[in-house]
Amino acid sequence: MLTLPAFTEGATITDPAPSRQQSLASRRSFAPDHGSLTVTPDLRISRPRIPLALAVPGTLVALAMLLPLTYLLLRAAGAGQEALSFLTSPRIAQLLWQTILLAGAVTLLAALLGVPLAWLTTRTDLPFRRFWSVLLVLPLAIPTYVGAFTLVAALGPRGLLQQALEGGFGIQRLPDIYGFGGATLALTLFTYPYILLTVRGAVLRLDPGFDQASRSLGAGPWITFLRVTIPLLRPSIAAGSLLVALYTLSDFGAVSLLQYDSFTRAIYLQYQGSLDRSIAAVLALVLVSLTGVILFAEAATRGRAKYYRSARSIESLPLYRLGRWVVPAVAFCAMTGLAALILPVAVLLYWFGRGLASSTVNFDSLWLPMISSASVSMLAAATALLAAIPVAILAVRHQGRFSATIERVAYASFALPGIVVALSLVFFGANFVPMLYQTLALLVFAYVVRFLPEAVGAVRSGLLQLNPRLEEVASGLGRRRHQVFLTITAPLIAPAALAGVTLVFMSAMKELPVTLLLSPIGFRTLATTTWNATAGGLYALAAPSALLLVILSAVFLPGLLTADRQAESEHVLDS
Amino acid sequence: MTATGDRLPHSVAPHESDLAVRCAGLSKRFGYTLAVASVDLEVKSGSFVVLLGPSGCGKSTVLRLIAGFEVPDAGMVTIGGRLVVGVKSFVPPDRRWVGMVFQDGALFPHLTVAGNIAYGIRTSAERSSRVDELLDTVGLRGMGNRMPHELSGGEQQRVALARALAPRPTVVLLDEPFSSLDAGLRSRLRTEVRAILRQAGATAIFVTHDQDEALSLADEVAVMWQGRIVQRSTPQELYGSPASYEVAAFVGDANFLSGRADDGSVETELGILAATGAVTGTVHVLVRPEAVRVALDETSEIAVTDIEFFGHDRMYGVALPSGTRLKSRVAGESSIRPGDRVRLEITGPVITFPRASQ
Repeated sequence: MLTLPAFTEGATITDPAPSRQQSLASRRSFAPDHGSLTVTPDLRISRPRIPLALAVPGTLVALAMLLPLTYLLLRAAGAGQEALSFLTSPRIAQLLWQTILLAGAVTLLAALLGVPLAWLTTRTDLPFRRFWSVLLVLPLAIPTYVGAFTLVAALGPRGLLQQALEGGFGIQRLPDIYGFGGATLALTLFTYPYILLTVRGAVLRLDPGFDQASRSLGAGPWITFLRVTIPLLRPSIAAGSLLVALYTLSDFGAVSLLQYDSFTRAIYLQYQGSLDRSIAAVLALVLVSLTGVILFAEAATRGRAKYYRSARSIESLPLYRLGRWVVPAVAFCAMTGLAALILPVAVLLYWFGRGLASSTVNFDSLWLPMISSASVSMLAAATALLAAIPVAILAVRHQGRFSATIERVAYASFALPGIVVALSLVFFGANFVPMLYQTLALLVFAYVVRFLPEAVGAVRSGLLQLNPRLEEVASGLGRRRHQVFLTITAPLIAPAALAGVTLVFMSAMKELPVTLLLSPIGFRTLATTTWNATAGGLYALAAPSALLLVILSAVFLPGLLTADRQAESEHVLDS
Repeated sequence: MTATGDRLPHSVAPHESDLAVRCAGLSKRFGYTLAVASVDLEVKSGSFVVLLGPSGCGKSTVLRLIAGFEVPDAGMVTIGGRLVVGVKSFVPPDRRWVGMVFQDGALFPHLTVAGNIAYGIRTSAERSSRVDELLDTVGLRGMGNRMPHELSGGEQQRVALARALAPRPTVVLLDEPFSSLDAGLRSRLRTEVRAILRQAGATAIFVTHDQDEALSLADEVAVMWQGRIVQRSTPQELYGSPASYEVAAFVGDANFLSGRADDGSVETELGILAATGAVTGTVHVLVRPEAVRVALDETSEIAVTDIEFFGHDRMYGVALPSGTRLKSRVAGESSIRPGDRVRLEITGPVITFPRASQ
């Protein structure tokens, strides 16, 4: 077997052998008194190493994932005095304030929508609960820049509403949709499902025993809700809010289209307009630090209580009766569904129809971007899967410091907004690998860096559900490691891997800033077509590709949600 | 505390070539916990050895060290005379020729029963005949095309056993294979499995925390306690003369009295009893419940506190005047009721353990 001496489990990569021996020896001296266990150094067992076939690709993947951030750091470190003094300028303070304000407002509003909706669609006798629980998740299929486009096309200057009012009433101006209000509205409407989904998952996993225990101890439904249910749901509310906050921080499309000055937009404008691109690098680093701080704060404040179901109960929870609250409850669901799904889709359909009628849109202008989008996303998904497999196997089956480091690095791009990845790779490509710059290879690479965590997560959950005894039995029966992987592991994790591939594929289809900055000249995808046309005010031209993106997302969404839920429930049962 | 293997008649070190498995000084630590502490174990070819111990005593770890799924911190293992782990050597699990049977069966869910059994058979010429032969052996003829989820728990374990036997391994390792089955099925299956293994001439190491299983199955039982093997003996000897207070408490039902031992007798609150062992001083006195006879006696100060009825026999709980409680196992009909006064009679010699050993 090929082995790699340096990467022993439980030892750091740089640990030289003698000190490891020492640390082993010193650990032995901590032995609880079970009599004497003397281990002479000569008797040391040669440990099996992490196989090269995993260690090498794992390391390469980790290095690739580190590239954007590392290069950004180098670039910023090499920045001139001007760029550095920019760090303390009022402009940075203003951007920080506006970005945090937006993230805070969106997260709060999304929670105010998502938590009650989650509770209404699971724990009450809301009429048509199943219908609402599907409908209210679907806005997730609308990329925020598409959502922002529908907002502009409906409420902006020369938008639907204004045209209608102008015709009838001669009104020339509407309240401005651009800026803070518009950005908050768009991001809230299309991200609240993250909170809805995490909270709903937690509600469904709640052990009915807690509820019943509380009721049997004499607490009424409201006391039970406030003192048992809400505290039990707090971790899920926090997790969903974190997703929304991170999404808002990294969102580029909506804030750009709605012209709200947050970090991502500022980075893009700086990159496009200025000669000193180091300033863009400095801005990007500040944004990364901000997401890092939020991730860190969340990890630090996460409650230490663990929430378990006490048994594998499939008993359904008793439903709360809404009584006379049923009308406001239905109205609340209907308004949300209308604003976040029906109206945006209606606007898309309207402009699509107008484009068809005026023959602005022909199918060539639709097919080409679609084929481009699909093929480059497919490449990215397949590459991400290949990169994810060694990382996930290391993390699940070869636990130790080496694997943990690789895994953490692979997840690090969660903290990297798309615009940051794109910017760094633009610099890197232009300066170091000009033959890759403006090629599909670099674009695919950027997608992989950006979406690898999704693939690793899927493969990892597949492996976690796979009983390790199966692989042990197989190797006990004489099969080599790679044979065990091909005959046992691969077929059994295939569904999870497929879910991961689909997830990456969809994310890449929708990704805007990376595509915008790294696409070869003339390479047009659904995302860039939508964006360019909207930015140019050509709503009829933007509608077809936007509509196609929404339809594709909606088609894949239910499957992804089920796969996700299964993985999650298995995970809970394991713990 | 020393292993008491030297009491066995066959304890004269067997020739290496007779041994299917030999472990020497095997140790494994997880964090600061010493899971396996210098375990020596010899398993003769064709024998059936049970590793018995409470959960967490390290018995499964020993099995995993033999199979190669864990790496020891010290010690060595030979399988069929070949060093598989030791100083500067480690043979990976796929080259050790051991068969594994796990608690949950661990059948490959995407393969048929036949596919599972055939997985470890190298030569394609032999494959289908060997699969049929094994299906016959485990009594599942004609079920080769079933999928694992279509089988009952007992059938799954039989397939797991057939799969483990398929490559004719040097030794089969069974890790609590019946513990997820219900009681009736468990006892039927363990008799069957014993017969199948004997018929196949296989060597087996069987891990369990169930003393009944150990006593009824084993040629030899090795009792593990906190990572060490504290006694190795035949089941009869294990029950009749446990090596330590802990072993006595773990294997079978036990009453303990305290007493003062002196040259073949021991003074307890039940009077002076005949004792085995040459211990003197303060001792634990082991009295098995079946050695305690009860008879109604209105003048006695000993009262029956409770009765557990098991069908074939019953267990009386009695309270001595000092407050000490004892159990007495009695077969057959009886008119004794809770609250009755009884006199006790101890049959046969009792066993004593030095108190310091605790």
